[in-house]
Amino acid sequence: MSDDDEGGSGLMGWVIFILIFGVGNAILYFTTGIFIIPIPRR
Amino acid sequence: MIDTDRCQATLPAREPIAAPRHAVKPAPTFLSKLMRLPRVAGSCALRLGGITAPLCRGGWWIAWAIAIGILPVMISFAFGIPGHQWFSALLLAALCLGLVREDAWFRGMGLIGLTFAAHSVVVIALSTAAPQRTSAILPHANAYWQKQQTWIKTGEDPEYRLEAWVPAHLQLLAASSLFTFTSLGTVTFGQGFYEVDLMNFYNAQLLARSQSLPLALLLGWHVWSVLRGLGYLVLTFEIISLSLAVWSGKRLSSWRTRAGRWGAGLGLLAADGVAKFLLLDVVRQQLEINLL
Repeated sequence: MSDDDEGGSGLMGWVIFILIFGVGNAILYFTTGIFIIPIPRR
Repeated sequence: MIDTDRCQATLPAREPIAAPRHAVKPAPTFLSKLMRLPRVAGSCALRLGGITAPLCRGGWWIAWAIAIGILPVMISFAFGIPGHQWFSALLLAALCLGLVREDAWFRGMGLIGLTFAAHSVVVIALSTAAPQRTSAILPHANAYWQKQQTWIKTGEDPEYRLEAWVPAHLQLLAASSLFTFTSLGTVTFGQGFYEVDLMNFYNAQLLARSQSLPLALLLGWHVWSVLRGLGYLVLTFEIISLSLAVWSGKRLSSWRTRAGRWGAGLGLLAADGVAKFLLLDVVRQQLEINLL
């Protein structure tokens, strides 16, 4: 399976990966997740 | 009948249409560049899966599951600093990408299940041996134990009422699905370690205050909680696979396999609700009788 079809290689690709899956999810979690993830039920 | 050979002979040869010399490929707009970013990120996630996939070949996934389950929490315990739950979540998500990429669902679910099981054994042991020190690295664990203690002794807990837990569980399913999709499982694993540790600390305290230890452990880790954990295990693997397929544009699994995983996951979550509805009071009474 080729992974490079969409330009996934290279430093810029990894920067975009970290921005979307790392920074993006951290922002989403701390702004939305803490409200929409309900408190743990037993 | 038309004589095609003669027709072709009389027709002039068709010349290839040449592109105008002045035609150039239009420059990508800002919007089109922006639209490509998710695919670039998805390709990198797929590459990361390509890096981690060989680590889980053969029986190595077992060693990794145990290491991810126990090493971060032991380091956290040694230094007295929390954060192990998110560190374990990141490592587990990275390894899962490799197994999702190969659609190795049996090893994938084994990896997730064994990681959480190994983690639980260590956290219960640490919480039994040193409850004060362990509660410092398990956020909200002590408050959770107090709530559980009240429920066991009085049978009163507003969170266990049907009108409370049905909407809460549906909300949890929606939130978990969303965050598994956006984070390729990391947020769900982090939240999972957090919630499992609440149960682990509660079980350790229960063990310290019960007559029969096997009974306390068997009933303390409520059967409905185990069913819910298994349900989310299956669904999380499936949604990571779906997410990676969408982000990267690759077909990673068949629709038949996906339907099977959704069915199994949702079935286990439904079984959680049924078990809780039927067994809640029986389990509570046995836990109360077993208290010292």
